[in-house]
Amino acid sequence: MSGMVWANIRHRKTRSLVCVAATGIGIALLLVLTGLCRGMISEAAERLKKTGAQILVQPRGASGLLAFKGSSLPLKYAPELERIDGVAAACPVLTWTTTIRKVIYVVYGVDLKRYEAVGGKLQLVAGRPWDNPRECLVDTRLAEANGYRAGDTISILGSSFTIAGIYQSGVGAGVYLPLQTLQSSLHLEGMCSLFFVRTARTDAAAVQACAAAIDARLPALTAQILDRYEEIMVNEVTGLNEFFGVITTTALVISFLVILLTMYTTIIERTREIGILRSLGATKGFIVGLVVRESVLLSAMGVAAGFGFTLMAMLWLSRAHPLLTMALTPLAGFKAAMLGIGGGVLGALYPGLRAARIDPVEALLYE
Amino acid sequence: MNKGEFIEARELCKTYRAGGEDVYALRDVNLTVGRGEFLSIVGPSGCGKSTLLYLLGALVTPTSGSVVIDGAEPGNLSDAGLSRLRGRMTGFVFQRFNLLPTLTTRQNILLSQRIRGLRRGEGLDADEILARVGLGGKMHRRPSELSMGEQQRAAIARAVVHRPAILLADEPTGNLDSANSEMILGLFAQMHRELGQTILMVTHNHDVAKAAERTVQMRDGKIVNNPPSAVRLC
Repeated sequence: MSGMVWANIRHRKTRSLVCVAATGIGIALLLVLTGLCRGMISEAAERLKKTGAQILVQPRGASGLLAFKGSSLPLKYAPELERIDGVAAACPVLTWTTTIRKVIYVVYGVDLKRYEAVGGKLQLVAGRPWDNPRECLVDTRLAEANGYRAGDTISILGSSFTIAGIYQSGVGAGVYLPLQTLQSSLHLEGMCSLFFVRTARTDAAAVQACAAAIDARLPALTAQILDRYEEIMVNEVTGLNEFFGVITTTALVISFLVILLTMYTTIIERTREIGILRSLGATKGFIVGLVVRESVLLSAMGVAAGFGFTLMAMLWLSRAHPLLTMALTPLAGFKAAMLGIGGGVLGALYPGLRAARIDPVEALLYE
Repeated sequence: MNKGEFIEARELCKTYRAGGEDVYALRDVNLTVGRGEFLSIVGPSGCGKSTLLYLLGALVTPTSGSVVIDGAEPGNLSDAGLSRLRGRMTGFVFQRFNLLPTLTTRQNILLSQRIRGLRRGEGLDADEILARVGLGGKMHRRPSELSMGEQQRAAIARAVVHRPAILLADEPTGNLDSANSEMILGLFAQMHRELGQTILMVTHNHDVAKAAERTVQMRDGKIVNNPPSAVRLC
């Protein structure tokens, strides 16, 4: 039977190609969009983890990315945090965003010594740390994307800064400014957005206990464990899971409809062949199986094409938009494959059952 | 069923809906065919002979009356039972050959074996039967690459590869020239002789009908001439 399935697919090359391409686009859409979302979140979470801190302290009720911008905490919380059992160091950070050549970057305003005290040592690949309020540090991705070198001037929040140094990307923000400079630029003197906390012990139980102690001691604040930050963002950022759901459903529906249409038209065209098979003694189950096998094969080819399209999209994105990060995991690929094939099987069921119900003699007379 | 009676049609009626009315394709047909008999059914176009053939081959079920094939009544069988009966007992040859166009000649034969659930060693060897119908050198060609005569020979090979007890042929020479028609009728005679099959052949051509041992004549959905069988029925 598999020989017949292959023969049918080869015999109707154009339709098979269109079907495979359309299914592939659905799969690629799913993988690229969710991959970009996951990638950006993973990258943000990874950047936070690499600061060396174990706990992120924000105002209570703040969550996810939105809380990073605009939330304001008095700096006076820093000594209070450092007095809590289990806290080794607390670093206030004022966060903001800035647009450089149409790309949005996160900016951290920090006191470098206190930042390094929580473990956030920036690995400079060029230049030096800042030594005056009009200097900044940028990461290698920003520098490479814009052709900046140490000593160049950069416009941030409407002011000019000299790039004192370039650090290896992947830690914290894309741009670092002196805390007081950012505070005065934003008229937020004496304020910060969050605190990075380094715990005295780094085992999970100790970090958990420290976070609980912060929550208990400072009820206006909330302590989030950075190891769980990605999970917290996915679950708490409004609509993100719903967005993943919509994209997944869209891919499933595309796969379903493409296969349904393809197999339905195939069945109509092959009515006579189905009559021949029935006259040879083929059962209804055989006919349904034939249609489903063909659609599974087409779907599988569509999934393979989808992976190919996704790789091409990744390649293009890495060249055209090097600051975008895509996260593709084997699990995401497996889920996409199952969705594509599952949609194909669902789409084949109606045409398959319809084919099985065709009267053999009417089918043989079909022109 | 008496000894020797292999296929029996009793009070067979078949109607189709056309323009909101029931139209009789067959009306009160009674027919008995002996095991190993070569019978032709002859009559003008639209007289119901193809419908009768499909009923006797369990391809359709009657509106009323019954068909009994080797003791089994297709009207009482489930779809799976009907498929099994068709797969094991019958082989069809059609006027338009009805080979699957996407497969090679050999693949058509092998698919037929597969659908009929033949195990290794059951039925005839695909390559051997193709050689016997003169297509040994063309088994890897698709139907579109064969002449009409060759396509019909391939269709016959497909119809007999599982050694069915009944070979049913619907206007098997209708699309062929006289030379190919003779060749096909010769093949039927050979299959009948060598495999001992019961052959039911529908034709509108009286000369073709003469190839059979017995000829039944039909007109307007009824059998108008039904000579006694040469096979001993009781």
